[in-house]
Amino acid sequence: MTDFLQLFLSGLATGSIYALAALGFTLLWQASGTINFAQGEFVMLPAFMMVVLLGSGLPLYVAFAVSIVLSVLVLGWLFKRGLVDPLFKYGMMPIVVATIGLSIAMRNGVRAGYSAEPQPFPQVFPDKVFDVAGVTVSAGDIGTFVFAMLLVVVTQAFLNKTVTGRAMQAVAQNTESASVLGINVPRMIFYTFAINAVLAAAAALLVTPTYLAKFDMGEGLGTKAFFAAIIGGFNNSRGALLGGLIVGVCENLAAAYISPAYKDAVALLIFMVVILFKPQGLLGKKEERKV
Amino acid sequence: MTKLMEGSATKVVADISTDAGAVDFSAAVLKAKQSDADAIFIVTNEEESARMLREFRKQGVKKPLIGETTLIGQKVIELAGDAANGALGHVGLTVEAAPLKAFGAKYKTEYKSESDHNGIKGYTGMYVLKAAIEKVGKLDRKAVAAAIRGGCFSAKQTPGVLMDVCFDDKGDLDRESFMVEVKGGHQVVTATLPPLNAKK
Repeated sequence: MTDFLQLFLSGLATGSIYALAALGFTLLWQASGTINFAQGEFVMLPAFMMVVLLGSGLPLYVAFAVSIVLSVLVLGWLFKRGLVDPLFKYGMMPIVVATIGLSIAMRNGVRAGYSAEPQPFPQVFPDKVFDVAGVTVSAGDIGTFVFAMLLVVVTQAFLNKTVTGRAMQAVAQNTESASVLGINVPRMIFYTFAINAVLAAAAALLVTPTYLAKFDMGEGLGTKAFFAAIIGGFNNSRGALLGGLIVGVCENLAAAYISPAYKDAVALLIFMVVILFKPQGLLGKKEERKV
Repeated sequence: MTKLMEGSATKVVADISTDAGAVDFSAAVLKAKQSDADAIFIVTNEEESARMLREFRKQGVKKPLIGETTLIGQKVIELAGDAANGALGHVGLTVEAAPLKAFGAKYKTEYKSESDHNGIKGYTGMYVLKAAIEKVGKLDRKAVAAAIRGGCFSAKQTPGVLMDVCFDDKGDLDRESFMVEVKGGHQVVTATLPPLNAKK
């Protein structure tokens, strides 16, 4: 039982990182109808920003702060203006294909421009271990889970309780009505992209000490985050959180009790089951359109 | 390895495999803890070794972590950081060994990084080849290969080989090697092992 609990808690920590990336997926979808298949690379790039900044002698927390600003500029503003805006009028599919191309370009750009080798990254949380009723819990897992959940709660609070957040939600629900009501729709969409960039940078800070900074670190992470978003409900932010946690926990349990070889298949399996029986996701709402 | 251990005082209590390219070793490390082994022998590639060492540290495992050249290699030490400290292993070559310290210092001056065993192998390999070519007197592939097989090259006569080395008739080399422990981010030689076929 103690082993199960230990795996469960460790899985929650991993799942909370997936949840951050999955939340970015759902926010972008809700605000702009964009599915960003470069989301994994959006986590990889801030990781390398921090590696470069750490290499120049900056402490970790300063490197993180600077990488957030750079991420908002590059992964928020530049991504929106350079890729999404020009293709928006052609529908969803060109944007999807373009983001797939972007992910390949980002991966190979980092590999060729920086290095194909993994880069060291400092631990964010101390190497302490706590024994709670026989269950070993690391400070790293607790810190990762708490930090990620805090970010999710703050994001939710911003969206629900601030004027700007509610304006962003209005744009997500009905762009035309929001525009008629005087909401600056392009600015609200940009804010969504900016929040996604911040969440990606935070995910990078939490995941890179374990994954190590490598050009392909985002591949698996992006795929699992996408599955997590679908599992939880692509049109529900809380669903992204639930999906991420489910994937993280189930992966860990599968690796321990079945085989490590099946670990990566767990997310896909759950995804297929959910798609078959509840296509809108566990917490998502059915969307209907009149034709 | 399990077969080699049969009949010895060492009993293999668990054999845990991981997926190639794995990034999360929490389940594997937990299984290792559950096995209650006295020591853990790790064989993975460089990245995986670094991640595994970090996971062992994260889960508070205090048992000896033992490996081969890769586990306690310089790249793994760099990637794993403090988590590599305490790891033990056998290495054929290390810049921390007395005969190789001068090479290590020159390498660091030139390339601004520590050489691992690959750097030393590249260097000494070229000098073995040079010595064999000089022995044969011509660039004949078969003759040079034959000169290496079954031959010995001493560091005194060929300083570039850095350590005395012999080759058997199959081309496998035989020379001193080292047991090391990682301390403070560096390999520290704890014992020197004689060549397998050392004259007693």
